[in-house]
Amino acid sequence: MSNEKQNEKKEIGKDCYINRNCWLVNNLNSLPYKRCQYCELKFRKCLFLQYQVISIVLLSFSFILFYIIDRSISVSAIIIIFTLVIVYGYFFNNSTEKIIKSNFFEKKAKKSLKELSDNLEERVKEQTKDIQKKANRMMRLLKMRSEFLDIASHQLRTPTSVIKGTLAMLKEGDLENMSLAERAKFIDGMYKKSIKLEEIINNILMASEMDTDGDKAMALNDRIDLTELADKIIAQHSLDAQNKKLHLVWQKPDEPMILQGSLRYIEEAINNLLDNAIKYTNKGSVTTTLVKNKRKALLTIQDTGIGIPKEDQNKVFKKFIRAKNARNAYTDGSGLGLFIVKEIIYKHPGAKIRMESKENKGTKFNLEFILLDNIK
Amino acid sequence: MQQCSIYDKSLKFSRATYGVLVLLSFFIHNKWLVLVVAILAIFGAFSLKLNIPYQLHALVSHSVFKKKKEPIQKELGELNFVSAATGVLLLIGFLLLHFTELTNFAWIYILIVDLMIFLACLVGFCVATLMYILLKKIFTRKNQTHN
Amino acid sequence: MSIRRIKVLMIEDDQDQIQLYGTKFRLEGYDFIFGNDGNDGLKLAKEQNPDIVLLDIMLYEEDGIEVLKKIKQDQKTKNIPVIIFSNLDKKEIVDKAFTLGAVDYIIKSKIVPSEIVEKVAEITKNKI
Repeated sequence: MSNEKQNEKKEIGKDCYINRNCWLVNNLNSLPYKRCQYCELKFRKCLFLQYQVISIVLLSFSFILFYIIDRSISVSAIIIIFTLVIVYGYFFNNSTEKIIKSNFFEKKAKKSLKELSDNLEERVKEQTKDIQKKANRMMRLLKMRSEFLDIASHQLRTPTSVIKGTLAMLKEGDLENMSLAERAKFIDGMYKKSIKLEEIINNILMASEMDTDGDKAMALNDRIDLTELADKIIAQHSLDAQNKKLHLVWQKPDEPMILQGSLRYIEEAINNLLDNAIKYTNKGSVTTTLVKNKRKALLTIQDTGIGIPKEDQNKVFKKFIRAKNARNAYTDGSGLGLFIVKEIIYKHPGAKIRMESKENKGTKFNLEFILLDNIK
Repeated sequence: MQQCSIYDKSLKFSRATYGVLVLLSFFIHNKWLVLVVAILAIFGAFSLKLNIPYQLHALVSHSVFKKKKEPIQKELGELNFVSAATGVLLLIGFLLLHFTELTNFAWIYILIVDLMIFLACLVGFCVATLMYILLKKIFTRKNQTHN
Repeated sequence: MSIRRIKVLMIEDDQDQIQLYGTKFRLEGYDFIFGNDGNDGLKLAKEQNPDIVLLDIMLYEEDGIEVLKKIKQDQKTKNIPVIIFSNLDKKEIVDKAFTLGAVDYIIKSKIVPSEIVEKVAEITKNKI
């Protein structure tokens, strides 16, 4: 049989379906009956065949009988038998048609039910996987949150315990028994701790604003003039630098540099970097430069401070991590400053941060921003 | 094998026509009518266009009654063979009637052929089709043994 | 017989806290020594033989619990009472500390210096 035709997709139940199991249909390449569309049986199981065979046998048998009994074949006998065969055949045909059709439709219904239930099973599995993923994510978030709270609460307790302790001693009259120098040191310690407390609270709040698992986007609706902003922040730090006898080097650029972002957060980032530079430099200078390079603005803060040891350089941007030498200098930093800066930069599209540092030589931070086109 | 689309009802109508005409000829004992039907059937064997009752029915039911019918696929070879077989059998009957003395036998023979035509038309049971398949099988097997 | 002063060893990395508690203990007539990290603290514990140790949990690069373990394992120091003196308030850590043999677990921000002095006095009273 021609195999090209067999390559076409012929589904059972369709007009072009050819039942390959059935010898008759296969050889004929067409459907003798309408019900053959729905039939998958082999020819020997076919009612058509059975009927045909029986009819032929009975017909021939009856004719022979007639001839034997009556010595001739009567016309009426022939007509009667044929009429019977034809009439019964017609009704038989119809009922067979109904049977085969209903078998087919039942099979079809069963198949689609099975498909549906299989599909359902798959869907449920998918949904469960989805829910499982969400549950895992939720658990991760809760764990992160609880870790954060653990460390944050510890950090907040540290300055409060010193303040409380000092005030308790004051109440109990211990301060009378201390030398003046000791007393001054005490009160100064408490004062510093109270400032620290405010700083830590601020940092923790800001870090928790950042800490939304990366999904929430920052509101970047402000037009920021980087030149003016940098100028303002430098001015705010000039007193601190003076107190530590450091040179604060800054050359304000001639042109404004406009970028789109969040004013509050960019200010915080630059503030943090400048704070760090001054805090961790004991002698020398802190140099800030701001240049425009095509469509980008590059802000550099370079200090001559204690630097960041090589083994800590990757870690300092993480939450609550402080380098060992920083810790020795100030034991009570929050460890959140650089984490906050990093998060702010990441949430501004196109912005980058780079760091170079050598222990005891100094540290340099590079911030890169994409400028807005100056369309007046 | 070549397939063609034909109208099922028209085909049935043409076969019924043959059957009725032959029955009529039996009842009025007219051998010439038998010849006519034989010739009609043989015409139909050559091409469907020459199958007069078929075309008639198709034309009438389309233009007059405007009934929409779907054609079904049937193998051309089978149709031609069946028509030819019908024609030939009827021709033999006619020849028997015309040239021999076995009139009774001939009429009974024609009656049987006629009733088989009715069987094919009404029940869809066509002995000629079976013959066709068998012959085809024999020929293809012969071709295979030759090659 | 001369009454010797009770020696308190504090293992703590925050200088301001050292200053606070150190001053208080000295005012109350104690001997106060301190170590800024675990190793320092252990060394002092072995050499100076304090009467009591106040140990913080959050030491840089070191877990106070590890230090507690080491103190309790060393022959020279295992009998010194250890009070965990920290701002970390986590049940698992508290339980672990007691299992390892800490005498008490006190949260710094919950008490004032005079109270810690009282606690130390209570624990070391049979030492004199």
